[in-house]
Amino acid sequence: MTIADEKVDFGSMRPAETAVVVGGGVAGMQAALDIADQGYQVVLVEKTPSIGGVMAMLDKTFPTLDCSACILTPRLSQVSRHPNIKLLTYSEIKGISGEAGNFRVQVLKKARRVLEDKCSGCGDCVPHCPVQVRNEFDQNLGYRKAIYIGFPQNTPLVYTIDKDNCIKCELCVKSCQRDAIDLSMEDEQLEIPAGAIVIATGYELFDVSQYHRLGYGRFKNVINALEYERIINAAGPTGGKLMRLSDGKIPKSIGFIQCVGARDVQKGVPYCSRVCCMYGIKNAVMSKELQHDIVKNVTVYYADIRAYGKGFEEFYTMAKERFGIKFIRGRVGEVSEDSKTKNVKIWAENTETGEFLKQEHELLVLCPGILPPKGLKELADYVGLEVSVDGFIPIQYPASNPVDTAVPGVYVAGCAESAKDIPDSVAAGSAAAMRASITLAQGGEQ
Amino acid sequence: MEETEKRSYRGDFPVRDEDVKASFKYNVADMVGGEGLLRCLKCGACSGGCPVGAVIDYRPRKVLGNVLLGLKDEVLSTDQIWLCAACFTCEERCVQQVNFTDVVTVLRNMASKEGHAAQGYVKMAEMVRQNGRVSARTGLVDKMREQLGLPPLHDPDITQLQGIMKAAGLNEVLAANQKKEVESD
Ligand SMILES: Cc1cc2nc3c(=O)[nH]c(=O)nc-3n(C[C@H](O)[C@H](O)[C@H](O)COP(=O)(O)OP(=O)(O)OC[C@H]3O[C@@H](n4cnc5c(N)ncnc54)[C@H](O)[C@@H]3O)c2cc1C
Ligand code: SF4
Ligand code: SF4
Repeated sequence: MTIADEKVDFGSMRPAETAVVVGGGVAGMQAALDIADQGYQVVLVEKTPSIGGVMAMLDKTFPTLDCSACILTPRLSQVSRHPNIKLLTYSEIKGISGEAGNFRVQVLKKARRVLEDKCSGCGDCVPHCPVQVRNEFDQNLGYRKAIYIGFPQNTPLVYTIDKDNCIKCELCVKSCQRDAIDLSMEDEQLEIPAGAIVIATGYELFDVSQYHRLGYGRFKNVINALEYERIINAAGPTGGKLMRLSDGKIPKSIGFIQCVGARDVQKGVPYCSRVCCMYGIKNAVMSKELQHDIVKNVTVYYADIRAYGKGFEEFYTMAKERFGIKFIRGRVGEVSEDSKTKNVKIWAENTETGEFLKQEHELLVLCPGILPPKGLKELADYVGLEVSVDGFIPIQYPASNPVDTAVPGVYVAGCAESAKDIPDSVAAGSAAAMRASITLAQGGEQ
Repeated sequence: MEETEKRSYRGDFPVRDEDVKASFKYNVADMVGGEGLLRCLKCGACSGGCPVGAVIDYRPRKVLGNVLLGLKDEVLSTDQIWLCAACFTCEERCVQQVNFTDVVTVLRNMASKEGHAAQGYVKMAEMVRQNGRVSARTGLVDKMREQLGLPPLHDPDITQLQGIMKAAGLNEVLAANQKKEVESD
């Protein structure tokens, strides 16, 4: 049973035995599990209604093309059922004081308006709610009601009412047989004593509309990679049917543009985002995998392919040789739209031949780079850390203590530190858990 | 066939050892405007958006590539550095702040000193030296200005202008290029 259901007296928790993990993505989940398995208590604070982070939105994972949900879902329930983990979803950190061994973490638990100990997640309320809005989890491509779960594996499996869109018609209240809905519920302020803190707040994507020339936001058939992930995801807004947005047709020709908001000094993102090359190749391969007979031309426009990890280079080679994906080295110069067909035309130089290309695609996918998430600076401020120039959490001695921040008792895991793929995020989660447990075991000493 | 011979260095290989001047890129980078050169990744974002490249065989990335390779003669004596329209599109987009348009200005200045200025530019400079204008003043222009309610044009002080040009070394540059014109005739 979800432990969050129980009435927990957070104030009486003992700091020497408790860690707070901020962010419930795959890195934070791993950190929470590994600390909890050592017998300590963990409070996992997640700002959205569900844990899972970006991995929950993905379709497959590179380079093995394993199903993302198949790996993540058991982990989600493991976290939610763990006797030592208290989940605080839909919650935000409002302040942190104290020091290693004895921090006080202020948490704002936002009113869900649905009682976590009563809601069974049956969804009987949903058809009754008259308000339909775009679903953020589906990158705003699909719809949800004002009372909602973002995706079927929402963890904890408890509905949430979004107060901005709720019209207080109370139709859901009447429809719920378990009396789980309480529209008068108020936000709650909690103070959690903790001996160690793990920051695992992940990342957000570069806003690709900043590249006006690439047409995102102006042309319907120019989408970003996370939107693409939702479109090809069986649980996504199209039920997994690869289609373009202008007319719902399966695109015969797809272009992928790499490094959009990465390795660009002028846009303030001089660093490489590490995962985009591989997820770009993965998504290119998936289009062939899903619609082999229809998708004829798949072209990836790249600056350099950085296939650095285990099995990555092989995957890249397979994409070229087995799937016939075309790779063109050249950053795309212009994108325009054919007003009739809504196809997009791109201009690029093939830098390997010097040829100036003018090519048409029915769908264009921009692969955005990775940015520090909103609110990371405030969070760093609370513990007395300064973010680095790129905006991520800095590590003091990367070569010897790769998850230790400059503040004793505060550790960092996953993309909150820098762009990482899932295996690296999980490894960092485990490492941060170990470091945090040592702090707890030594009563705040490291 | 001859055409390919002549153009074979436009970023295409093979490059002959004796044509490589290793210090060339540093000479360019040392000039005001040339600083960004060494940062170029040759990603092609510049070429991909270049309006000139969209219609003719001209790629800013290749110009930079040739400079970085050290193909001094190839860069300074062919037309490639004179094709840029100075629209600044590439400069705005370059992910490395190479400032190609400024680099090209440096290259044009170098080429001009060696007598390789494009003839259009030489003619224009001569026109300015003689008349103080890039184009001749005609009755038509005067009439149009009058119709538009613009003040009449004043003739510039040519002596002063020529003094400035002389001090700036334009006379030598023009002489170098005129000589070339005679030679090639
Ligand atoms: C299109 C795309 C495809 C990808 N495909 C792959 C792939 O195939 N294989 C692979 O290995 N990697 C892939 N990745 C990378 C992968 O998404 C990341 O490695 C992974 O999600 C990082 O996990 P994380 O826990 O660090 O961050 P996240 O997944 O971002 O999780 C962070 C969590 O913290 C929460 N949070 C943020 N701020 C706060 C706060 N202030 N307070 C409380 N909670 C907060 C967020 O809501 C979120 O739930 C892909 C990325 C993209 C963009
Ligand atoms: S855009 Fe900049 S870095 Fe890329 S090839 Fe052109 S000048 Fe070089
Ligand atoms: S400034 Fe010159 S090289 Fe750059 S895009 Fe314009 S014409 Fe092309």
